[in-house]
Amino acid sequence: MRPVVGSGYWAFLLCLGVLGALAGCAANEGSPSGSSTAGTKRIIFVTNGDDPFWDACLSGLKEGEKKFELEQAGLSVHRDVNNGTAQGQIEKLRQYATQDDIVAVAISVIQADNLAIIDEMKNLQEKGVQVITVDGDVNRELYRDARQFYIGTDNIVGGRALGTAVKAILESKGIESGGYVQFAGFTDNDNARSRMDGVREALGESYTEKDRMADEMDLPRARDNVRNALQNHPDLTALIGIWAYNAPAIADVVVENNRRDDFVIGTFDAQDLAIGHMAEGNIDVMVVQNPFDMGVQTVRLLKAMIEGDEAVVEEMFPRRGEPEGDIYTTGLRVVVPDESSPVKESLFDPAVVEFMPLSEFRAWLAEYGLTSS
Amino acid sequence: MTPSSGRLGGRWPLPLTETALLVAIFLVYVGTGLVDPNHTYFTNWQDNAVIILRNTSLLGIIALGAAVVIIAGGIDLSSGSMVAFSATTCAVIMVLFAEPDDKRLVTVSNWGIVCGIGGAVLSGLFLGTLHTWLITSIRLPPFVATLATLVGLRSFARAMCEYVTEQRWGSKAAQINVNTPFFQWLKEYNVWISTAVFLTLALLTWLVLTRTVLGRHIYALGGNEEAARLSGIRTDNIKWFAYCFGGFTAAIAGIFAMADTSVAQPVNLARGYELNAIAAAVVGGCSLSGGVGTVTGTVLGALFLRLVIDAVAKLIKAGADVYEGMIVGVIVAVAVTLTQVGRLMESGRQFFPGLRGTLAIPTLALSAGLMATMGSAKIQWLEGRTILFGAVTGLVVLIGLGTIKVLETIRSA
Repeated sequence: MRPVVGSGYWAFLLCLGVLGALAGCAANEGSPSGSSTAGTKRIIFVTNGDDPFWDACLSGLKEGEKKFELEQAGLSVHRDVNNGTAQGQIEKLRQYATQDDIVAVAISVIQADNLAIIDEMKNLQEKGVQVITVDGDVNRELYRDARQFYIGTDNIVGGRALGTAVKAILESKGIESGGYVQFAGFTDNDNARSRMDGVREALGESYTEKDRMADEMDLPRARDNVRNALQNHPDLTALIGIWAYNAPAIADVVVENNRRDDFVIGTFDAQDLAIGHMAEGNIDVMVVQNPFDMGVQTVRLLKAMIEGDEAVVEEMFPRRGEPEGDIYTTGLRVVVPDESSPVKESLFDPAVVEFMPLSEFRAWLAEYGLTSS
Repeated sequence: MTPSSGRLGGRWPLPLTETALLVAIFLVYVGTGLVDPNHTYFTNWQDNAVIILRNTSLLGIIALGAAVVIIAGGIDLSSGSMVAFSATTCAVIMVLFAEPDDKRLVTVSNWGIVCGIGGAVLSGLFLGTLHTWLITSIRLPPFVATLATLVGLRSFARAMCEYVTEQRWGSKAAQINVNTPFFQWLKEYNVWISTAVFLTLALLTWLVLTRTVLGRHIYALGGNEEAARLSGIRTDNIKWFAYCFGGFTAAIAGIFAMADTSVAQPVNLARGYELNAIAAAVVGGCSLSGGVGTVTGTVLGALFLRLVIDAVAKLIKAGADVYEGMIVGVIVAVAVTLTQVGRLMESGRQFFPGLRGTLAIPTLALSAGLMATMGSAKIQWLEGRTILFGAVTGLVVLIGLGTIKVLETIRSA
């Protein structure tokens, strides 16, 4: 019989003590945005996954923290990056419910129809925590009461803008019909579904949606999906990237296959890799959200909700109480490589979409010290 | 053969491993409660107990299966994938019983639920049988056999999910939302039901391992397979039981995991759980070389691991999962290393023999230094000095381990 434990196990306990002490030290200062002193109440921002898109949002949160003087109000804002699973978000929401210093939660819901996430959001509200959604909303038809407000892109409008731009490029090439595939992390996520529906609506009946491919936020799979799409559908004319990382995935695979001339490539968001690809001529059009502004507006709204500042809430949601009056839309930009693009400003409603060439967009990024949006 | 050695003197009923774990659990709980600025473990202990219990029971159910396989001298790397597979099996069966346009599975009949759960459990048993066949008939090492299903099952489950949903709904779905009233009820009372199931399974496993001939044969098989076979034990059948039990516990966990998250997600559900389950068993005293381990140790190991993960979340506040894997990894490595200390000392072998051992010292020191640097990034009083702190930590580890190396060299000279 072999000994399993010995005096070493007590040293194991000692190691635990050391680990505990290290974690304990971190505890007092566990804020990504700086110190979180005793008595400070926390606002938490939960992402759906890990992506540079959220770094731009974090910059916005920090900007909002300064701009709206959270420290003086006894508040701090913290970003919590989810692991790309529903389970991850559920566990995070449950953790927040046990911590009395959390007064508000903004969440980019990873699955619009996931009842467990919905229940945890409602549970937080019952405990007096302010809950809003940002970027990814719940299924509004069924679970609107799981959050008070939504801040983000009007995704169906964004989808339509992308579809309109892609259609203009296809027509300029004389391609009147053909197939296209849309790529996203999850096809049943609210923002992905809305964008894809918008794209399909704008592209119309002449073009056939061959597939909606989900990669579940697995980057190698995102590339494999593109490879499979190219092999499975010989009549493809356009490739549509719905989530930020889909853009470089599509561009990489198309370049790898030396088939750039065969497809029109339209994508959402502007990862730094995607910006590089557009500069090299590998992406035709990007519809870009404004995660920086999402961060700023999140802080503005949640601070007002926590302090009961109805004036700010009214200002942000003047149609509150009416259908869709709980939605605050952040801006959309349509970015094209240069002025020679067949996509023209006149195709879009200037009240909804800001049109700009890549050089102008890069200048805007530089102004705020951002590398992506 | 007995499950484990090392027992405290007097009338104390628990072996040393379990006693140490109990003390560790107490220390971590109290320590975290004291250090946490909000003292959440003391001020809101009910909610925290619910979270820890819920997570422990899910991990513990899988860990019981992992422990039996490990004690029998095997290893099962596929339990996380089996959790996802059985959950998906349950969901796709229920898709067939729901109204054709019901994509949230609200309208599943009672028969549908029974068939779904039955199908999930059967899938676990079939997979256990498959593993045993691969190991005993095809002679694949357990590591390879279960590695194959670790990789393959999720893909299989996703294909099954897409096929069934396309046939039934006309469009493929990579995951299935499960809003069936029964599973919503199960979610609501999940913590109590899953804990009761976990404790019942633990009791049954304990009875089998300690009070039956089958249990003695499992220990005998893990201790020395050849000797067990020569003594007349039908080792292949014992393995069959062990792997089927592993599949069964994974299937049960799959049903709870699906209810808990309201979704059957073939690719992401229970990702990485197999390693946490093995870690819980190992921390609880199971030896990866087989023949050693206890149910009480595994239960406490699961509780300890989940408590540490929860404590880190309480202390780090936001973004704790960045450190979660690192801390679990360190705990497992330290626990397993320390179980070897006595053996190494008795055998006279060195910790750091030759060039290989010498090179391990700077590697460990560098790792410790980097961890200290990253871990101290948020400590206010170390602001601007984290690299210095990391360097000092690395140096201390280097000197400490170097001293051990020197002493070993002198002793062997």
